Amino acid sequence: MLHLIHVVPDFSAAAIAGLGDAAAPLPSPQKVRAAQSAALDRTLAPARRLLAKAGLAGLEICLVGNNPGDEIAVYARKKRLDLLVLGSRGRGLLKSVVMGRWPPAWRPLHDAAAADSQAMSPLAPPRRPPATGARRRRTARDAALWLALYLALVTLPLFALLPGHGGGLGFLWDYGLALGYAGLAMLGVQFALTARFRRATAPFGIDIVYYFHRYLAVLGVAVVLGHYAVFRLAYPAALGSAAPAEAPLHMSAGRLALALFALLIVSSLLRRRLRLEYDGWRIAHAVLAVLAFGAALVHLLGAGRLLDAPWKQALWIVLGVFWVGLVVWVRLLRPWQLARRPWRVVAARPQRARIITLELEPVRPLPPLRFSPGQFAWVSLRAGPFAMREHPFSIASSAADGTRLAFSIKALGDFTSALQEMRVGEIAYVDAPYGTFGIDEEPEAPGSVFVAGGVGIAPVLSMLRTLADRGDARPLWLFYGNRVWDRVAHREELEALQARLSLAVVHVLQEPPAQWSGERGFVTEDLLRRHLPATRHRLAYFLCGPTPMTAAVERALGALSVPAA
Amino acid sequence: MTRESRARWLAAATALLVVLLAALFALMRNWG
Repeated sequence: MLHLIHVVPDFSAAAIAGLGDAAAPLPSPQKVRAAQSAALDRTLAPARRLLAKAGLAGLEICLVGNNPGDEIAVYARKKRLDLLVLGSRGRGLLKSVVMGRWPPAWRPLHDAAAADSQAMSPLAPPRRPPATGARRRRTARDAALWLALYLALVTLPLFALLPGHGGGLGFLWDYGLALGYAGLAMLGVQFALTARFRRATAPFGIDIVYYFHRYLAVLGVAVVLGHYAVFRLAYPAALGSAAPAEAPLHMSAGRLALALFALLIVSSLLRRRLRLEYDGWRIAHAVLAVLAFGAALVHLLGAGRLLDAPWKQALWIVLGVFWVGLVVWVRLLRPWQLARRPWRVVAARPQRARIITLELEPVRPLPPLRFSPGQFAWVSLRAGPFAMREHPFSIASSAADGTRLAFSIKALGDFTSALQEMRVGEIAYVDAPYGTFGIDEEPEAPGSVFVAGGVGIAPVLSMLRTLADRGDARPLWLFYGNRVWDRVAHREELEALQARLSLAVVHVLQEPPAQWSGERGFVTEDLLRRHLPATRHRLAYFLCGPTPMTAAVERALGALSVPAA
Repeated sequence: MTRESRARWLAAATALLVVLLAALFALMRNWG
């Protein structure tokens, strides 16, 4: 058997999915797909002609991954290929040595990856449902309140320095100082954005809060750089010597803080490109953030041009301790609470498509966990709660039973792959529930539409199981995108749920089998229009899957006049 | 507009407000 293999470039470096994953902006899924199919066709065309001429058939394989060499090697090993014939691409040997291989970075999308990329990190941020009338207004009001709170947290400590000040030293000088104070306050609030405050995430959804964390980090560091730039350009004498031996401690601390903040940004935005392993990066991220913030505080208190009264110093010390205290809360106190409430794996069932369902029960009797279907949990498996190795997973079980939690997890990264070997009896720590995605957010909707891709089915399963347990009779639609029929996880259970619910399941396959009479390709505007009733704008929508899919479906729904959340 | 791009615009608008408020602070210190 001949395998024609091509590794398509990943234009979706940002097809992130995990919380804490930061990356560059994402090209549209259409563009990505078009570019990838063009690349595939371009590469395989000569081989196709050659094979046709020789009267041979080839199996066309489209791979994706970080490193084409590795991808091909893994495939060859898995399929036990006898001989690999590799084509040289574009550059000759010398150019390749000098300029490196092209393309330099590769990532999944075209095939399995479209459905699987979500599982590269455990949780694709589920998309909140488009909201209706009253809830939309309530959400907008709450969002405005939280934004006002953000601005207050960042600027009030600065404006508190105005009363009793000894007079300005010129606009530019004071503006430079103010940028430093405001920038530091912005970076302080960063600790709060990831401190898992349930109420703060409610009006936005956890995905927005993490996007916010990412973009405000970049902007906060830009403001701090602005602070430095004002003095560097307008008052270089004020900065003094940059040599640590000659400079006062607080000035060296300021320079160190700048460097550490820059390092934080670079290591986060380019985490994948730098091939930093997620768990290690997370620990380094927290440590770097505390060090950078600590150094900045030393700089502020030492330079302290605006802290001309003891109470002003005290105010900023208290604020600084508070922000860093949030890290202590999330990383020490909260894990300490969790350590006293261990859970145990009571079932580990492999599903299709390298998905494993883990069921957990408390080791000691606990009150049932109250959660809304669609919410997620931070789960530590094979690690203590202090190890910072917890991962976010959607709860897949019914909210009607809070004493037994199920998670459907896909093997892809190092961590999720290790889960395939989880055994009954192993201990887990569960920090839950989190997130504001789910049917309970839309109690008055006349019906619901779920769009899931790959393992994105997990929170949808929780919602469907809960609705079935509640005896809900409202009409439901599930559009479930997968690559091939053999990899459609949980499809038997979905069939069983159809008997208990008024549920229409529409499977959408990218590579359907020959006799397939169902939908093929992707979940598009046209496909949604064909299956949904004219009153579709009144339904509640829940999307969960790889980012390119949810973004494309969001646009399709917009074109169908479904109001966005 | 996707949720991510909305978050991006919101973050940018928020940061712009912060920078403007910092300017207001500097103006107030140097008033008169």
